[in-house]
Amino acid sequence: MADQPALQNIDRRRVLRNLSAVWAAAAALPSFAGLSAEALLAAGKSIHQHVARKAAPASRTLKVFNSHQNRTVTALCELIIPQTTTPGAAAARVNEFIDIYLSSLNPSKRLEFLEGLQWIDLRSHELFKKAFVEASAEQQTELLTRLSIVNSAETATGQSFFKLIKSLTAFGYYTSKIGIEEELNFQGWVEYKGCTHPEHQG
Amino acid sequence: MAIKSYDAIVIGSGITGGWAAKELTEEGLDVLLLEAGRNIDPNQDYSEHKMPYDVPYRGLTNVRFMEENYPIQRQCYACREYNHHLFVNDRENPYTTPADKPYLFFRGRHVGGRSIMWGRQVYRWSDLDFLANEKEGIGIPWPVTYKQIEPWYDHVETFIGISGMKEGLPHLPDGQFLKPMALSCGERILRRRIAEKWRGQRVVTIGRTAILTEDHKGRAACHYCGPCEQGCITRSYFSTLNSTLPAAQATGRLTLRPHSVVRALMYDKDSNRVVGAYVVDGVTRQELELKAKIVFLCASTLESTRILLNSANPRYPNGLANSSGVLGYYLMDHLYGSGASGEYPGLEEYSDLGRRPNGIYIPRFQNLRGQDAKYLRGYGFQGGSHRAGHLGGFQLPSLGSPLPPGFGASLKEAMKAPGGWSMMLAGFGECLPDKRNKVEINKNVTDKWGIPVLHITADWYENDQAMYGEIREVAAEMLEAAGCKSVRTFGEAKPAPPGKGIHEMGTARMGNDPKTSVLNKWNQAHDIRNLFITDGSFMTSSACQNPSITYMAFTARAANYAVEQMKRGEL
Repeated sequence: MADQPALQNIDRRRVLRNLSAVWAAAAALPSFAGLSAEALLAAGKSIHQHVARKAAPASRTLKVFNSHQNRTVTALCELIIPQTTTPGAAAARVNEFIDIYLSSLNPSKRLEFLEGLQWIDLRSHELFKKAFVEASAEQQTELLTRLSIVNSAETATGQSFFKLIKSLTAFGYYTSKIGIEEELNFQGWVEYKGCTHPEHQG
Repeated sequence: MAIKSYDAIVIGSGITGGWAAKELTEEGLDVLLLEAGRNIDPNQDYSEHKMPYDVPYRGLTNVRFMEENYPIQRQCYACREYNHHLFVNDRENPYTTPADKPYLFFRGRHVGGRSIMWGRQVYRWSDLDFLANEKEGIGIPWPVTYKQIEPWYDHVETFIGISGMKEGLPHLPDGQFLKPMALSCGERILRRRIAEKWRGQRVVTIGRTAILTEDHKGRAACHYCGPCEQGCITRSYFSTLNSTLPAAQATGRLTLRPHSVVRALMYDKDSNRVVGAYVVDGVTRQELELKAKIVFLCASTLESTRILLNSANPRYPNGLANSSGVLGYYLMDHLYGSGASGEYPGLEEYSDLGRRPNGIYIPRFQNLRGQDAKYLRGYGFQGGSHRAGHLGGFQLPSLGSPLPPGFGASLKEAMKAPGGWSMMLAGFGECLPDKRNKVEINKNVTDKWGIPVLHITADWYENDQAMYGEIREVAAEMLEAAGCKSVRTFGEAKPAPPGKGIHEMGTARMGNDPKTSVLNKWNQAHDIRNLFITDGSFMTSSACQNPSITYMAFTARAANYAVEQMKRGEL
């Protein structure tokens, strides 16, 4: 570690300082002992995101979902686009997008989604004897896997709901600030240069 | 309080009104420019740099709100969550149609009009177009030739700045081009293969567009952010606000009055002249009488005709300047909505960065020398070839587009991969002038300002249907020739309702004979010498090219003619 460049040490100190400042907010942190500077920076970034979520203004008032529906949708979205090295659908508040989107639809279209959501809980009870949000991560993954595989044996209602929420989750995530800036790493507009390849010229 | 009398009133501040105001003020006239809608503040009203997360519905719009307030306008490709405030509220601006003949009337009422949301494609006409009606024995002949309009195309193109590639085609004359926008890989290959297969008889060229590719007259070159229909803070594409209005204002002779809804024109029977306009103030609803020596009607194809029909008086009981009886008739639009698309494999190692707000163009190749098709006239194609996905250039995902299989981290990773190349061609066909396509006043329905609205009757007929069907097949044939796979045609049933092409033309056509036309070759009313109409109403035939540049050229020509005539004491 002695030959680390000075800048990186400063960055690491800054991360550590920030970490100590937010210690209280971060409940289940891994031990930092023995981590490389890179791992520390990654951990720091993750904590920043965690804190940013905590510190962000209270969630927008929901227009369609009750709190149980909201938790179910949030869990489904995060399973579809999870946090990896970048934040997932829950951090991007895709559930809130789906809520406001549904609120703009005609009642029959909205009902289609809500009935699908209800189906998820019914099926979860059949399979695991508990509501979807109460099921373990493995069980949740199992249900979505049953719905997403080719030649799924699940009902048409279940399969079409999965397609719908997957589509809404992907759209909601990749149109969010997190999706565009952090995941797609959008850096700004680029000039259209088009084709400059001699092999495509006549 | 005495209200000042102006040299000229220009009604409408869209593409042609802006041009009339510029030319007339630059030639020394005091001009009052009346706009029915509100003022536009680019800082507030433009939204081209807004991200999806900057609007509540991520660009999908509040569907119920749009269905209630913009049921017609929302069917326009350019009407989006980001810019629906640039389209009229359909509840405030009704019109009627026969129950079985829908017509789509897309409108903007604000300073700049539809020049803010227009498609920006600019193609000159040639004598193939100006001689259309004579050749086919339909309608009435145009009173002008390409040679007479050519200098005015030069004039407007030089001022507004258009980009394109010279092709040397006699039937689609080259213009005063800035450097062309680039073709994508797929488009370059298409250009070569189509040229080879049809031995130069079919040409693929980059869209000719009123977007700057170089800095031009104080306006910046395009930076490829993409959604021009939402405004342009760098003034890179032509609109009244970006180009002609500042020039008119710089003369110090322009008075712009927004919220000025023209109910009718004022007519003096002793002199047989228009003397001004009856204007309803859009905010106070107070009626004003605004006066001028000449009037330029540039309110848009159908709105100008509506004003004339609503200006009927004992001398002109069927509408002002309508002794011919053809005012309101021969409405045209471009045949639109059919084509083909396909996948374009083999280019996976090539990227396609940036958002080019322009496509490709395939000029008309049917019936160029004699009659070789089963219908009269012809069509051109617009389209393009791009790579889907999020690759650097940043494309907005669309709801419901195909996704990689599964869910979870693997889906997230797969979403990062760029998609495949595809190609699309859509036809724009010439519509024949037909007396059955017409507008009248519906006295039983009024708009928000108490003004009787239009009853629009328009449909497609045999020639259109024959052309429409062929467009699909020919598009598919060319895509296959270029190497496209999984080619599928679209627009299977009837053509989209008239109006959807947003190229409404006619209803106050020009011609040499005052008995069969409303305007003479100078866009001047045969009946009333100091009345000019220079928006798309004057069109005697439709050709198949996007018409706006032709309106601009005729407007500039008419304005200069009017000033000459005034100087000679003829007006």
